[in-house]
Amino acid sequence: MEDEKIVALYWDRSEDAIRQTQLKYGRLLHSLSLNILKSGRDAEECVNDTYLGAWNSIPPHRPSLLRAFLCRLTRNISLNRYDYNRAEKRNPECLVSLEELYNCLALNEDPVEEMALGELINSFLDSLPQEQREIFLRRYWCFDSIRQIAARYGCSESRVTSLLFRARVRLREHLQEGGISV
Amino acid sequence: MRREDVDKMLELVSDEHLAPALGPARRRRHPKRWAALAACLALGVGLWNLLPHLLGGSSGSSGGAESTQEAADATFLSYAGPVFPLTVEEGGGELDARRELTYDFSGFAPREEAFTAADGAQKSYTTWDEELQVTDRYQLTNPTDQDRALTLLYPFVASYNSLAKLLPTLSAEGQTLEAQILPGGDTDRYTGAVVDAQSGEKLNRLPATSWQDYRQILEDGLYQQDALSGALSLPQEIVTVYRFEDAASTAAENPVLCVELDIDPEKTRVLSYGFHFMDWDAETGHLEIGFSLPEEGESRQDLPFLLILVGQDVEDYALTGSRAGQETQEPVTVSAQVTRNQQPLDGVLREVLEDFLSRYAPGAETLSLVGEDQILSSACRLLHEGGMLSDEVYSRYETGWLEDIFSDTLSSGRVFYLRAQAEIPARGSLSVTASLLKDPSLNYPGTGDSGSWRYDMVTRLGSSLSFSDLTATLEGGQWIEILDQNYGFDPQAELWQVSLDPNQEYYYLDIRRRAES
Repeated sequence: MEDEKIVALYWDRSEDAIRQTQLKYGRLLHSLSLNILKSGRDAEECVNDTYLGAWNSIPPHRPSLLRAFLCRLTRNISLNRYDYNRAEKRNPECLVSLEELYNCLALNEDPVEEMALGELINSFLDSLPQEQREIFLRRYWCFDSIRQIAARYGCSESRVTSLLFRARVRLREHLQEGGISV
Repeated sequence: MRREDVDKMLELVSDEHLAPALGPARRRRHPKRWAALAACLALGVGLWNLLPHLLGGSSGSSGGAESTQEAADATFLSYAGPVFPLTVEEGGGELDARRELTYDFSGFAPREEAFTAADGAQKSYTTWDEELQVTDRYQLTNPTDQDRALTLLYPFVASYNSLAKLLPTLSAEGQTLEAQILPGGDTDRYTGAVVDAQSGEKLNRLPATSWQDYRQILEDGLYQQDALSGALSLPQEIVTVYRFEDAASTAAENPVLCVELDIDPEKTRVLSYGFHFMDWDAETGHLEIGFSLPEEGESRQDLPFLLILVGQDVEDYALTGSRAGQETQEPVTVSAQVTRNQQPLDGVLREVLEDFLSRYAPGAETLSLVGEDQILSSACRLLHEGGMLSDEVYSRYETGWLEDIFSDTLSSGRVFYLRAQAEIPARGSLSVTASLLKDPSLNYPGTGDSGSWRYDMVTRLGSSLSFSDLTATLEGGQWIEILDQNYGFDPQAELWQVSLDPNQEYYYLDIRRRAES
């Protein structure tokens, strides 16, 4: 079913909205949550919370990109669950992924204005070639492993590693050019 | 810049940047060679799957299996699924339930069947059945002062193709119940060319190999809940359908008609029927899809060759010709009567299903049991979950060929539910019986322990009933040799009826048919 029709079902308060969302995006959301939590049961709960979140926020929202809207909900819910769980269960892939960025960018304690961050990250992404942009987001937004990314884009793991390294360096330069102290 | 600023920065990535990264993978292809490669890989995975069995690995338990756990871990190349317990949709609650299973191997006895030979002579041959006749009886008692209406559910494993043979008969107090058949989602998993869960590739189907696969599928109740919610509504979006008729060519041998068009996969998805080769260049979006022209008298002559564009129509296309398997010096000219129309997707899928069933599947019996809409609904589900209408198209379905979707829909294993209404009076009881044929689980000759046939039974999985008593009876025992079991049947002592522990989750019986008795 097209996204507009699913959103219309939410606005009609039809429970079929959840079912159609599950059918179309359930696997995607589950894999995203699983990347963060590495627990099928936790991921299942987070995906269910995503459906509840969508039900509670549409209306008043009418997301133009439902896929991104749902993934954003799942990511936030899963990261919150991850924080809750992290004392006992650490997911190496999620940590490794974030540490790659922290080690490159978070080298001091100078706070940054939120609006500047939003503009800079999106202009940085605009500057990347399509494939490199997607690989960057799959790694640092979706927490895919290097192997998963290589399989997804049909290239070697070393190529993915190399593209990510260059992207991180470029992001660092881009932030510095924007007046951010990294 | 602090760590929390990095986290915040990622949260501020715009939807427009995210959407392509969250969409289906777009991998570079190697044009012209992919079909042959896929065929080789498919063969490869077959051999890879067989390897542990050929080496006598963890396949089918033998008479030497030392524990139920070891037997429970056994896997089978052809796994028929366990016999499941009855359940009650409203919840078993206070009902007292007793279960009595009978396994009848009498059909394994050899029998003579007569036939008329070509010369008119009356002859006979020896044959026997290879399915176990299972009678699964229940005595439900209502200890309360209130009459209770019950919705009975009896789960069983089958595919659409095997449904007519494996469909149980459900009766109450000796009267056959009118039962609705509700199919669950398919239970096959997917794997890459080499069985490697890490790759995430979904090229080959991997059917269930043991009862534990079903435990995983059923234990949280979601599978059953989904099956009971009924068929999904069929997609009625308007699609563009190109029909290719009266195809002709200047080449005398093996002419191939190819349709070339440029596709933006974000806006257009291509399904087809009758086509059997495809090259797609993900970089440029150039798609070549074609079929060899049917020859006079070939069964494909009346095949509808359909190209279905879901989403945006293309501005133009070109018909080009070639000769299958050969590089030709002379250009091959092809022509076809092409008609274009727009219609709801469910209508064209229905047309394709009807044609597919008439050609490739013994569909009439299945159709009479579940109806066309139900099969279409399952096929549409596959199209949306991993087919061309999915956000993550499985490698297996990247061609968009509807033959693959319908073939897999009909052949894949799934748990069906028989749903019937019954009443149980206050302080009264109700006798419910399910009668069914059960195929054995086995390994193929030359793979692992191929001489043994397994019949599995589970006691609680998926059931809301709590059983206070469970017995099993074996009939026709003289026609089989018991190789391994955890029931407690004792052929030497002629002990053919045993009491079982209702709290033990799993029972198995490994047998071999006796050639003569």
